[in-house]
Amino acid sequence: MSQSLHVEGLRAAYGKTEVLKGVDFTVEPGQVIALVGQSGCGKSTLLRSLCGLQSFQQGTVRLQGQLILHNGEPQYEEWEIRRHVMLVPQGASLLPHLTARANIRLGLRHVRGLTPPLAEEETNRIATALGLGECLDRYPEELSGGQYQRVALARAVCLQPDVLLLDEVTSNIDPSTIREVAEALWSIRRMKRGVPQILVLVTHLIPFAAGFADQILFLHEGVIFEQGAAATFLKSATRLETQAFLAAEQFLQQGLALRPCAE
Amino acid sequence: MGYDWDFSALAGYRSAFFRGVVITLELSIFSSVLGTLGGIPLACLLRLGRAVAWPLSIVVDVFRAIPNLVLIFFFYYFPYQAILGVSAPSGFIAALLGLTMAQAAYSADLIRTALDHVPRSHLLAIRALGFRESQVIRQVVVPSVVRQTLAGHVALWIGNVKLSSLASVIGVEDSVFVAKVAMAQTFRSLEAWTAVALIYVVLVLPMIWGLRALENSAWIRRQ
Repeated sequence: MSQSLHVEGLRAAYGKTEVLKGVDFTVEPGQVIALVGQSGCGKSTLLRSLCGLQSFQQGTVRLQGQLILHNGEPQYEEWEIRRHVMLVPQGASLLPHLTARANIRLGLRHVRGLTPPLAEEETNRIATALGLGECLDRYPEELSGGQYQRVALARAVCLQPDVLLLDEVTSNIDPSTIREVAEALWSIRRMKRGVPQILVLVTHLIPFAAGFADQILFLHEGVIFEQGAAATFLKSATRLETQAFLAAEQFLQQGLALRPCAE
Repeated sequence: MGYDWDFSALAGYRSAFFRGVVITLELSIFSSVLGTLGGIPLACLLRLGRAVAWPLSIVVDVFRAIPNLVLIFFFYYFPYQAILGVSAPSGFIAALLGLTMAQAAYSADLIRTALDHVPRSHLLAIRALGFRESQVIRQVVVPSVVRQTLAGHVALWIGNVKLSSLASVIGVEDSVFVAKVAMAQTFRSLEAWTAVALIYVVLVLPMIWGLRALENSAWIRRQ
């Protein structure tokens, strides 16, 4: 059966301000999508809409051909939709009173309903896969930025959603630890068991998106303005606005790196 | 010069003091537990729409404004038979009602504020993982509210131990009441009140130390 995610005519507004003006796209099973666009262009709104955390005015979201959200109305229990289409929001927010291990185990116990020994086993498995072995018994406040993000990823991935939406998991962390998170994302891509079939990530790291994703979707003026194969998107993007955005993002990242530290 | 301390005159009141301590403990524990439990639904009601929350918040604030002593008198002298058709409660029950109402009002306010301050990002992140709403409440809201309000609640409960002494004014035989009787019969006022002071120090000091340990614990700080 096709595991595709199909979004059609999605419109969302805050009051009179229309943020999404008819977003259409389809993701095939096994695909990784990078969603890029300027800050405030509605990327987070789109991700939240897809998992029913935010209502939208018009449009449909289908998973495996089944209608899950219609004109913003959930067609199943909201928690049930989110078990299939799961979001790691920006900032991730681990529960501060629980250790990394307990944060991961919470979902295994209550969302997947595993017994304590099985949950423990799964926690250890995902922690090993994402290189979190030695920091499992630390509290979130004691984790580095990269470890924090990886625990947040582990907490979601181990719940085995069909679609995993990642909002800016590479943002707000030390540039030196971005690599750590990027490696964790690669590990998730390569996992054999319990893989999310579809990964949609919002990122500002264009070179990373080009190397990691299958497709890049450029969200601009409330629509998917342009999309293409990730590997060649930098060269193949034809529209002026896309090129301007890509150039600006890359200038920002490379420009900062190339700037001399001192005279 | 010098004062001739003589506690021997109080020896005959030992068992009365002991029963007084039991009454103090009963009053303060029952009013703390019942008041706090009552504060939970009140706090939830205070977060409903204005039509419910506004009049209720006035009632809660009024109870916070009235001195506990006045509340105790009110519940003692309330014309139960004439208005409610039930017989008047004992002094103990009247004092318990007054202390419990005050505790409920303070609890409601503490918990309401805490509910407003449960981090939205935590709620969003847990909902986004597919937790049911009842699980969100159990796993996120309750732990957060407990951490935010526990120290405040313990301070209120400590206050209740001391405030329970007000019950003596309506004839409840706690240690303060016993001291008043002993003073009148033996004229050893200073000894009687020293005994009462020692009783409260022994009861309350461990609670104060416990509160300090609680406030400094990592368990509370991780919010």
